[in-house]
Amino acid sequence: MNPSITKELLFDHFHGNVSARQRLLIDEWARQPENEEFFYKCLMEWEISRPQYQVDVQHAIGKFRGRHQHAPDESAKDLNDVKIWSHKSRRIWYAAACVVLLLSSFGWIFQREILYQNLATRAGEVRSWTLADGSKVSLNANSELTVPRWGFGTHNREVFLKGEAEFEVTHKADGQRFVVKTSDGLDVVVLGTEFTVYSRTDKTQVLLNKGKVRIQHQNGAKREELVMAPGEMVTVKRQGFMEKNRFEEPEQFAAWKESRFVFNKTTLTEIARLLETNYNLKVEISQPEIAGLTVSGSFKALDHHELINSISQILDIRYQVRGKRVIFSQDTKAPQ
Amino acid sequence: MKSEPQAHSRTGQEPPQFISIEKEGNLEAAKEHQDEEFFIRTTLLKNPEQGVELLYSRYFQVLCTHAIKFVGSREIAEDLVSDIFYRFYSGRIFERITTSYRAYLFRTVRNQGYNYMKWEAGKQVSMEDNFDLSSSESQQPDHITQYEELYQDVEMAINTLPLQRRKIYLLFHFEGKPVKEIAQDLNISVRTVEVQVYRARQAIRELIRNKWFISVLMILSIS
Repeated sequence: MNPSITKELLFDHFHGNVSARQRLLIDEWARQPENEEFFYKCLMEWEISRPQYQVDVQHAIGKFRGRHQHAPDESAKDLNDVKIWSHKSRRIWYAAACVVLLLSSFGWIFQREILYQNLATRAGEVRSWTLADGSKVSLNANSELTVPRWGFGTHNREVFLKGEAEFEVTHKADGQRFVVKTSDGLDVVVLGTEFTVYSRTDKTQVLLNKGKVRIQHQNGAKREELVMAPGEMVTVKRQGFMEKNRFEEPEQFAAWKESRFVFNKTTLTEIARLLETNYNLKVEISQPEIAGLTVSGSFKALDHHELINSISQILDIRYQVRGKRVIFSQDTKAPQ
Repeated sequence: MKSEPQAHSRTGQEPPQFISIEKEGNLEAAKEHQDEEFFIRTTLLKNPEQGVELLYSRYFQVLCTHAIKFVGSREIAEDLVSDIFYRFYSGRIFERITTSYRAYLFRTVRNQGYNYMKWEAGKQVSMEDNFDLSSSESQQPDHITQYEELYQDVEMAINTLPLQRRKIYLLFHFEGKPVKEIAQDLNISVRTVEVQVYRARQAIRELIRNKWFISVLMILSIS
């Protein structure tokens, strides 16, 4: 037994102040079980003599109690199941891509910003995009389409729509479906087709031009499904269930793409709502009598001024525009 | 001053003998330790749950302090030690050990600490989600002092970090503070904190992995 392995030397070793030669001596010496025991004795003494990191021992005992009380039969099985959990704070290191590694905020919203891309239009704006799989989408004013940033067309083709959009979806050889999801819980599943989805706060409508789509709707606990043929339109109102209609002139449904407006006995109230939604305006109708006046027909209008102008001419009413406010009023003998 | 070592009992039938060589002459402490462990032993055999709780009271704090040197975070150190205690209990290891509880626990903590660091260092490669005590490899350093060498290397790696990065790293890793809080306290952006932690971890991981966890193969072709 080597007499020169003293507590002091071991303390020096724990401090990191010994030479490699001395470490070798300690290694050799510690091969004897009784010396190893002494090693740990000194180790514990040394650790205790230093500032400790306070741990809540009672809390740990509590957890131990909870563990053995709730799993009395674990024993051998538990030996295989014991895991060290990687805590939430360490989960940031698990992503493969370097980019995602760096952007390691834990909020779901932040993650969503990275994984998804937002296509959006402002008030009065109509814009088109081509997606990674070759599909085309046109967004009407004040609309938003969320598209996966990576893997679109390879893993899935799922997009999320708020507002109004027209889709020309490419057909994929492997039959991969293109799904448009809306905030009503309405999913439009397509194979390759042209269709229009209208999803605003009042209702969601889908009009099919060409091809075939399957509509899936989650109405509370119930799940409804129906298949559409070209020329058909499905409406889901806020209350819930789906309604299928035939739409006589399907090409009129997405007339906004060419800045054309098509009205079919559309009341002034509905037109007011259209102005509010598409152009972020605040519309007032001064007299209730004029609210029910209807407009039918289609005409081109480049912006909301032109539209308001045309409407009021057709209906023979007055209008005022003050910034974002529009006021329709009855045409009296004395114009304001 | 030397005292004669008592023989180890390897049969498991007799109670284990606890050896404590007192080169310094501190027989009082040695006796106290033997008494303490003796008390724990009798309790364990009568009432294992209570016995383990005694072990907690006596060893949990210091074992966590030691474990932190390897795993770097309080939370993980506590989990690691707790798991060791639990396995000790559920596997009734106390019936089989031939050393003192102190020796067993410290040795196991060092083994598992080493395994954890090995898993950590290889993580980018394997992408495993959780560190599993049961499946960790049994290959350990041959020399007892290598455990000290390992965590001292980690300490050194941390010390070579740029000051701000080191500060942020320790706040995050050791103190377990959330990123937002660190950003607020230091008046920097959340993104900066994340990048600094990432870089620190990369630097430490590289250093440790290259020295400790890479097998170097030399292939000689003899023609």
